[in-house]
Amino acid sequence: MSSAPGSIEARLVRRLSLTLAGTVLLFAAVYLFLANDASYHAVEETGETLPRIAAAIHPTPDGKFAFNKKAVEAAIGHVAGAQYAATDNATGTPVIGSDPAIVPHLIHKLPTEQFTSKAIDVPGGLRIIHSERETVGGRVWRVALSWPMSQAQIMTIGLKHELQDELLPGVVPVLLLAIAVSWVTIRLNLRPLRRASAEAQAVSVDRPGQRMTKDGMASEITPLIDAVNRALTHLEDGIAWQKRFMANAAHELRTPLAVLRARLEGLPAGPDRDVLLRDIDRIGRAVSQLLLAARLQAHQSGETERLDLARFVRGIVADMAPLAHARQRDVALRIDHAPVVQASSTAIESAVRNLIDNALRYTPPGSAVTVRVGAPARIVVEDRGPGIPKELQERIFDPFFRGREQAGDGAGLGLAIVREVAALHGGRVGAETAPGGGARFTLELHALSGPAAAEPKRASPAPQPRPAPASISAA
Amino acid sequence: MRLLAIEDEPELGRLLTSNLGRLGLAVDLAGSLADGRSLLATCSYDLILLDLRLPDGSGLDLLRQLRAARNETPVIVVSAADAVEDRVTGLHEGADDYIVKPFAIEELAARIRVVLRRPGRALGTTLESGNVTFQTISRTVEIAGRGVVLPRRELGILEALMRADGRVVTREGLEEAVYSLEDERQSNVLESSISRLRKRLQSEGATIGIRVVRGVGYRISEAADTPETLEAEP
Repeated sequence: MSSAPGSIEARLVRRLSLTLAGTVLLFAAVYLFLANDASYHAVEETGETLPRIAAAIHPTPDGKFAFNKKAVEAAIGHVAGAQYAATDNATGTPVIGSDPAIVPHLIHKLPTEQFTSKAIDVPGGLRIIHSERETVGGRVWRVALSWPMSQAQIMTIGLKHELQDELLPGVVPVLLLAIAVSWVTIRLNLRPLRRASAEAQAVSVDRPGQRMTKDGMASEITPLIDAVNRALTHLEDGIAWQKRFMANAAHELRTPLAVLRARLEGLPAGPDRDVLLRDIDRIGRAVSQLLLAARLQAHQSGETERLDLARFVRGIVADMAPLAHARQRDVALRIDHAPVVQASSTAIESAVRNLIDNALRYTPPGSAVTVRVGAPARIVVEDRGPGIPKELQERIFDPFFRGREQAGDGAGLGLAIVREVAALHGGRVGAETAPGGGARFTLELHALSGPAAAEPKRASPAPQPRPAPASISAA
Repeated sequence: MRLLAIEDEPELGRLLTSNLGRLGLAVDLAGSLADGRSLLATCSYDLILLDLRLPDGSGLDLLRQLRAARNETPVIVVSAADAVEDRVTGLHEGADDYIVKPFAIEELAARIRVVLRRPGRALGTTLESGNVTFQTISRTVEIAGRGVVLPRRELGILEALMRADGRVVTREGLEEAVYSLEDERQSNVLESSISRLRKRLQSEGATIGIRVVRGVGYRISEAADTPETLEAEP
């Protein structure tokens, strides 16, 4: 599992790695710079040079020892300003080397260890001196080679030795380990943040009470979590209030209408009563539309579920057919395709009902409204009415638009609700005049791929007409 | 036949009682869940009209209690809430139907009839539509008072349609009602049976007809609103 390039984890790991890698590179650069320094080579080669100097010592006829200067020059020729000397390890007798004036100093400074490298301050200035015991012809010599060196060069060499011997072998693995440990640490510390973001993703209006947890969260993040949780509480309170308000509004508006209607129904039949009943039904529809529009605006359309659109629409058509017949109209369904959609059944039912209701109002008596369900997830409702002029085909979905109707029926929100429902599902609705002359409304939703769900999880509101013929036992 | 209406709005309760009474349905009225429970404890009702928002609780609680106690008295929820969730919840909890206020009394009466026409319910044995009577026990049909002998399939179709009382019965619903498992389900068999039944109803002078809802199913309708032109097959 790798983290996204913009994540905190990636950023921290990237920066830390860059810093550490930069450090390593810096060390490496210093090392390479030092390695290229001429004096470094000189120093390095004394290991070879000292035995050659020792080999150049030869006995003189007077029983002393002297250097074969030519041989020594050959050995140390490449070291600028080099001086050399030797003493007999057993007797301390010096062998005069390059410059007799330097020799006492060299001898004086000669260390006693096997191999020594040190800086000495002599009248000629700072020098570096290397010495080693060399055995030549059964005699042990302490041989010394010295050459001038500036303070900076001496420090450089020291640094180089430090790098080579201690830092590089020790520090690089530690650095690499540090990168690895940092990465793991960052990952572990970001885990609560990942969980928090998963929790935040799961928060939904449909599932109230979801909160982000603070377990294991860094103290810098907990105030954010608290703030988000507080905001969620406020939001849910608001939604709950709104739901209560809507329920109360529905009750307060509809109960008096129900009383009024029942009262009228108790009166003797007559043309006045019928007109009043129609008026009440109109108010009732307006109330329903307003309540529904308000609910949709507040996204209170409920949870979405997998809907077998053909089956669902068939239920609605079955439910509305008696009403159509009572109005001397017919309604027919054609299923060209059986799409499955993820949708709010509440909202879709309202939209389809409104489209059919609208079509029934415009189709002339004796004609039929055709409902089609097609691919990919399309519901087409067509009437045999006068059609819709081009300039109204958009505006007809505006709330309270009255262009097509002589006398309002409902609150003028029916088609606005359809558009709202379409938008809520990421779909669209359009109106046009069909080739046959009537109005054609097309509601497009997004089809889910996969097999049609046999049955939505909860009972759909209108999957089947209300009587349950399945329960009838045939003779 | 006796109905119980649990409705806390007194005026609506009174009007409901009198309006349904005029349609031949006797209704007892309870103004609260408690009243409703005490009436249910003493009397037996054929159907309950249940408001959801009551002064002493939700009608859904009573519905749940009834169903938990295996009391299968049909319940029609009568509510001002029409959010489909409310409706679905009501039906899910065991209500037989759901009607939103304000409603036409004929609509409520029709729904009551449909619910009561189910097998085993108060109107489930003698089905009446127009001048057609269907005795579900003896499986005999009378049209305008004269006995009419119908083949088995046509009887099944007529019974299913009459139980639905004007509501649409889907093709699948009719097929299930008509064919037992061993029958072959041939798509044209249903259509020809319905066609024969329709002609028979007409020739016997029935005041009801069978109306097709293309692509959906069939319903019983008053013969008057069954134009010939719309009798095409679905």
